Amino acid sequence: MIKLPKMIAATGNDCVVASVQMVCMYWRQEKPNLKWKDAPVDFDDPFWSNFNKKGVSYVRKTGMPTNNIKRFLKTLEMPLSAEHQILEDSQGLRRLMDAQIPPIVLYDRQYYFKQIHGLAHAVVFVDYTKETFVSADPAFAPKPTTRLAEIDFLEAWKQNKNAVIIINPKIYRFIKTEIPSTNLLQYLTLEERGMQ
Amino acid sequence: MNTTHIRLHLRIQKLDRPELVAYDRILRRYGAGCYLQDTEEKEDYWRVPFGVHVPSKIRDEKTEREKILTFSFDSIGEVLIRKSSMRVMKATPLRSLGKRIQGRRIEIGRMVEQDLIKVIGNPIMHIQFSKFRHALQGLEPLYRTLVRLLQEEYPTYNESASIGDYYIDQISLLLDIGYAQYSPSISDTHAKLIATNKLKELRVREGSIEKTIDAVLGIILSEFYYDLQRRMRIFQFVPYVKASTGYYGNAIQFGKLLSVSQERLKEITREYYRGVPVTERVSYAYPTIIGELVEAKILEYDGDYITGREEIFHKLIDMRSELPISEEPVILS
Repeated sequence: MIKLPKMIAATGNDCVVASVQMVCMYWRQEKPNLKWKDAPVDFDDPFWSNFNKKGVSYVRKTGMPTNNIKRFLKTLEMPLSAEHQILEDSQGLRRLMDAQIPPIVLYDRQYYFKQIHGLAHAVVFVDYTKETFVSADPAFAPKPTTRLAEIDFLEAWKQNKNAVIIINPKIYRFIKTEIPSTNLLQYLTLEERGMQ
Repeated sequence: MNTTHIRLHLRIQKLDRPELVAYDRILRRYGAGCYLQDTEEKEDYWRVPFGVHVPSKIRDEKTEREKILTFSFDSIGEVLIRKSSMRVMKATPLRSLGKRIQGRRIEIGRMVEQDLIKVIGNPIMHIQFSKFRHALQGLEPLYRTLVRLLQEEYPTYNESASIGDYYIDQISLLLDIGYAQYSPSISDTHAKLIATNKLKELRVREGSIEKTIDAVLGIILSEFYYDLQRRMRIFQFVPYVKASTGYYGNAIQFGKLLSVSQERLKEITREYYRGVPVTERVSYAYPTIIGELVEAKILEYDGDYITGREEIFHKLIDMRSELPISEEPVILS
């Protein structure tokens, strides 16, 4: 299990900022030898409350654009890089957690609970079991973890196209394989139908 | 410095479908509040319209209860994707999205405002509009004419016209709602303005001149609120209506009456009317405006807090189902 040093509470569109902050704190604690300019290990230091305030200023009415996360981390001179990815499936989440990289997952929380479409919600995934994912959810802070049933989560995640935000030290490299939406068998079936 | 390079294999979806390309763009430039709608296929491109979920936080300061509500606005923007390259050829700029969201919220605000005016303008609510001392300055001709008519003093057209066109304009409102009429005369200028039976019946029903005036002012406000501003340049009622709309608008979203501080109500009103700051004059007079709204029985005091009136709230709450809002799920136990 990935141990996040501190839970940050947030509601509405600010959940992305809170999740980014939790992950940055995690890396600050885990990788003390990186070039952390001003970020202290003391997570009660005003630096971290300012981090949140500044982060919120990057949030738009439409949410936090992932381009803004990059800009935000750059202005703070964090030795971290951020990117969003549209993963093929939940195996990618497990791979990230196995590598001790806590992914920020965007899923439709209203869909998970009520089967109606709502705001994409950002949570940090910290662990998984055979049937559940364990998340650190800013909306439920200070509760450290919340379990999400995988079967329902996958449906709710699909509403946001399996989107994930990955924040990691700049020294990390990802080898990405792009998976086409139509596999060979489907492609051939379509071709065959076309010929008929 | 730790120089370990970690390599990790990730399987990601190829952006080979218009909705994936559009979603990637949306996440990058706008944020995860946006959602895709049905893709439309055009000759050489796809059009992917999208909507947005906008959260709104409402708090009852007395009970410290908070609700996060989400407004959903469909078709707020679009992404056009060229078929040949599977790349974005055009997308709504972020700035335009902000303006459109603001526009939709104004529409909702206007919806609440219109309904509220109709409710408080209804004589059965017994709102005491004559308590709006500041607002009455703008409606002085109407107020004076009503007093005269109810005291059975009937001015001629000439007398009123000699004061100014604005006097005649306001009297015309009474004619429009059928509470006054000119008596037949040899010439229009000598015609006397007289109370109609409708006004006399209202006077009997209300029991006093003051209450009758309140009822007529309510009817005029509900019928001509926007006309008073546009045509007659009478804006004195605006701060009262805005403060009431700000309060009841939030209460409708919350689903029950709220208790908020005066300062918070000022903020709510400002947020409700697209962030336009309350003018210095209104800001200075704000405690007076709130006091007059309470005296008029549109709002009420709840200790140090301000709350609404049950009767008004119950007439408005049905519109909650018409608003494009949903509530955030409750906390897990």
